[in-house]
This record gives sequence, C-alpha cells and structure tokens, in this order.
Amino acid sequence: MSLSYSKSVLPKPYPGEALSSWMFRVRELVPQPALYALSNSTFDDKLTTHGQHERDEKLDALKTPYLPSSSFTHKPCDDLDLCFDGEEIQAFVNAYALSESWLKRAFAASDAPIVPVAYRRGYCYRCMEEAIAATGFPIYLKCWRFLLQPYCIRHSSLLRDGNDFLFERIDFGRKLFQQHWEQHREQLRQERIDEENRYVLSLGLRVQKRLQKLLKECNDSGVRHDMLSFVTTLMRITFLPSLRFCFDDTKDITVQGFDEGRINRFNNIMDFYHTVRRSTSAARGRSFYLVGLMLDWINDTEAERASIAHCNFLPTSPELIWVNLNRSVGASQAKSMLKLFSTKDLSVSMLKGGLEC
Amino acid sequence: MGIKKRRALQMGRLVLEAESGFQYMTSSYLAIYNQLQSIVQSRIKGAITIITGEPGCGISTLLSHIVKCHSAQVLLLSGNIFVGETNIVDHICEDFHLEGNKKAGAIPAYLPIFASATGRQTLVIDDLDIYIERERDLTEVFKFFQAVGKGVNALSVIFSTRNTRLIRNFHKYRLANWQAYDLVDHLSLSDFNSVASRVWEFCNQRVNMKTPAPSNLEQTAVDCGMRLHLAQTILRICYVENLLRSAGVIVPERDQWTLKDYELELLQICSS
Repeated sequence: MSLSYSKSVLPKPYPGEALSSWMFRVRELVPQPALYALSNSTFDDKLTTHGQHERDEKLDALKTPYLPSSSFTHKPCDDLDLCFDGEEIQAFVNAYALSESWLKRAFAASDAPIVPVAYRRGYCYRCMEEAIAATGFPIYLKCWRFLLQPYCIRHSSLLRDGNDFLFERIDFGRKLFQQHWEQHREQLRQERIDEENRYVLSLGLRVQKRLQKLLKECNDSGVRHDMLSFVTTLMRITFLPSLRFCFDDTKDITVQGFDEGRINRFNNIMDFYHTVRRSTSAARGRSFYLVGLMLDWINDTEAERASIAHCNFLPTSPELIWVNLNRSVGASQAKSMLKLFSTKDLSVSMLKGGLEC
Repeated sequence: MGIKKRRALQMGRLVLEAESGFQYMTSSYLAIYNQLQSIVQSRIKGAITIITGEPGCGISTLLSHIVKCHSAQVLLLSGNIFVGETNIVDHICEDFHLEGNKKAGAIPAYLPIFASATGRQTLVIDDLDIYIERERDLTEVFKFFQAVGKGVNALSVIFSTRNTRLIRNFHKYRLANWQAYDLVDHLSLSDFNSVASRVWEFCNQRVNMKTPAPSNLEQTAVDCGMRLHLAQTILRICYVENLLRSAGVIVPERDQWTLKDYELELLQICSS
C-alpha cells in the first residue's frame, strides 16, 4: 500500500525553526504515517519471533523517538538540525513523503560557524514563549546554534544555557523549556547576574549587531568567510588561559561535553581551536565584549562605566588585554591567523592596544 | 398522501439515521453553560467544577459546546480519562505535548506556565473515571484538585464524571472555589411543544416533505417522561411511524419494546 501524505496536513515550520524541532512537532501531531509504514512493512506477513521483536522495537522507537541512544559516547551523533543526509532524517522524509529539496530549502542554515550539536545549549526563553503562544510547542530555533550569535537580537538579551547532556534529544526545545522551570532558582540567579552585568551585556550585544551588519553588507563569499574566521580567531584569543580571569563571574565557560575526558588530554593548540566551539552563550557574550574592546568598537569610557562588581579585573581597555596576551602560549599562532584572515573591514591594523606582531 | 412504500421506507431510514440537526437548550443547560463560560472567560484561578447528570442528559454536548466556543482558552483532554493506568497529571502533560512528572500527583512547575503561555488554562475533562477504584488513585486525583484549587497555578478544571465515589469525595473535600452542577434535561410542556415542532421541521427538511405536526402529542410527552434526549428520539420515531403508516407499511406496536430496541426495529424495517 502506498502512502500519500499531503504537506498541508503537517504543521508549517515556524520562522527560523530547526529541523529537529519541526520533526518532533510533526511526530507529535501526526504520528500515524511512520507507524503505519512500519506496521505494513514487508516482514509483516511472516513474522518470526525475532521479526516481531524487531518490529516492536522500531514501533517503540517511533512512538518515543526522544530517548538518547545509550552508545552516543562512542560515536558522533547525528545533527538533526543541520545535516540532512542522516539516516533518521531520510527515514522521516520517506515516512511523510516529503521532498528532500523542500526540506533543505526550509531548514538550511547560513554559512556562519555553528556550535556542534554535542555542545548546543543556548536558547532564548522569550522566543520560546512566543513560539508556544503561536504553535503550542516550545520550538528550538536554528539561530541559537550560530557561534557568533550569543545574543538574541529580537529580545536584546543574552541566550540562556541549558543543561549538558540534553543535546542529543529530538525534543531538545521541550526539554529546555521543562528544565528552565524545573531549575527556576538557577534562572532567577542568572537573571540577577544579567541585571548586574547589563552594561557589559549591552556592549557585547552592540558588537554582535555591528558584526552582523558588516557581514550583511559583504557580498563576496570569500571575504565573508575571512571576516567570520577573523572574529572567530579573536574569540579564540579571548578564551586563552591567560585571559581566563575575564570570566571569573561566569559560572561555566565551556560545556561539559561528552568528550570532556578526551579534551583534557589535548595539547594547547587543539584546546585553542576547540574551546570556542564548546563555550557557553554566557562566555561567548563576554568574549564579544573583549572583542569589541580589541577592535575599538567599545571605547574606554564606555568600558569603565560597564565595570562589574563580581569581576574586578575585567579589562576596560585593549592594553589590559594585550599585556596578558603577548606573552601567552598560542598568542603568536593567533596573530599569524589574524593576519591571514585580515580584510578591508576587519584587519590586524584595526586592533588597538599594543599587539606585538 | 399516497407515497410509495419503497420511498417511505427510504425516507424513514434517512430520518432515523440522521444526526441531530439542532440543539435545544433547556433552562438548566443554559444556566450551567453561562456559569462555565464565566469561569473560562474570567480565568478564575483554581476553580474546580464538577458536572453531573443522568446518562444522555447532554453533559458531553455541554462540554464540547464550551470547548468549541472557547477553543483558545480551553484544553479538552483527549479520550475518556481513566485514572489508574496513568496518573492524571501525566495525562494532562501528554495533551500539552509535555513530559509527565516523576512524582505521582504533583504538578510539574512547567505545566501551569506552559498552559498560561498557550492561553489554555482551563482544563476540560469529559467523563473522568477511576479505572480500578483504588483508594490511592482517588487520593491522587484529589491531591491534584487540591493543588490546582490553591490557585497558585493559574489553572482551573471543569470535569464530568459518573463515578459515584469521585462525586462523593468531591463533596467531602470540597473547598470554597469548588462548584458542583447537576444538569437536568426535564422539559416544561411549552418546552416540549417547541421541541416537537422543531423536530418535525427538521424531519421534514431531511426528507423534503411538508407533513404537519400531529396535534395530540400528550402520550408522546408522557412516554418520554418530559426528558429532552428521550423526547427527541420519540418524536423522530413518531414521524417515521406516521410516514410508514401513510404508505401502508405495517408498524409493530411500540408498547412491547424498549425505546432503543423499537428504534432499531424500525430502522431494520426501513432497511429491508
């Protein structure tokens, strides 16, 4: 029996929704096709005990497709937000008779660097609330995966960080929402910290906005790539051990990923590349403030006004950053990279405060 | 009138198989409907409302009417709710597409927040029942009602049940903001006449005829005990009887049958 499933029956993707989130909604609202397809599968006629068991397992998996696999620590997990070739996505496309090209068009992300799926934690609660009012689901947005967007532009606020180890779930948005309220005390604490840091946060947000404006104006994909790499390198610099004191008041700088044990054995260079990808939204927000200082997008007066009580040594001028950086391990490689990725709009010459090249 | 036998049988079947074409609201129905409407519209926190009534008196119709008119503010819990197999909080969470709580009966912090974010803070449960009447399940239900009844969660519940222990316990544990309504579908004579003329009109429309309503329906009124849902069935049966008799079809005596069986028998005659 062939399946014909009209797309009009399925819920429309919410603007900016990640594929995993939409897949979860579809399965919740229209669970039949996948189950139907399996219950009518070819081995249905002659069911051996093993076949029966296998089918029941598959049916269970489709009814509860939200359980993390037990072996994820030993294999890279599928990115259901952005990789469209995964086995599960293909099965979904087949079960609901969707067009692959439409799926790619609807859920593809820009070329901006992304947070690997194993480290995804950020979310904007207010965006989530709006999505609930509109769709009845706490939707997960793909922009929360963008490495260079630790702030929610729509609500001008820093993204919140959820717990580790939820990342693999297809109902990630729902888990984040539930956890937000289960750990409400932590959220209140975070709100208080955000309130105390509001000046630093607003400066960080300004840096993000300015960067996005520059990227938007750039039409050349090569230049755009260099600009993205330049800013990512600057962020990597801010995460060097010699600048860790800038994050004294940040609860977690990095996500306690599943490969934490392995990462600790990495050498400094690997750590230099990797830390930014596993950094929390709070840490990236602070990093943007430091990047703004280095690029002179934030001047000293503004920085002085933004000083934080719980982070006494937070630099308020680029000189204070470079004096710690110039002698640190990894700084020289970073400087060469900055030269490599320099463009008209973002270059080494724009960096203020005593970079020793 | 002289309609053909075959045509009369076809028309009889059409009338008997038709869905009810109109909704007649008794004064009790209207009064309870208005009360429920005010609970939903004013978003009264912690209001727990029980609707009871005899089978067929229109509780499900009343609740679906409320849900239909206030779909943005109300969540109708899917299916019949049997507490015992799953707990009531899990059932509600499931309908909101959320995960249940590990602690039975306790309301997870995210549930009322989610409900208010969706705007659907009134939960409607049609026919709440305890699967196996275990004391533990009853306690769990009332633990939930008490938690909601405190009003801190911004939720309210409207439910109906036929479970006598549930009803008894509701009155036993009743708090100030818990309300009970008994839906009755008894008709006054003028109500009955009005229902009769509307049923007749509906049947006429259904078969495209203009048969006038008989003037002496007193016996019919007695037969249905002046109850709305029985009146609608008996009046329809009367219409079909008249139709068949006028076409010369022999109709069995109604006295020897229960109403349901007689209706089925007539349907069988019309289908033969």
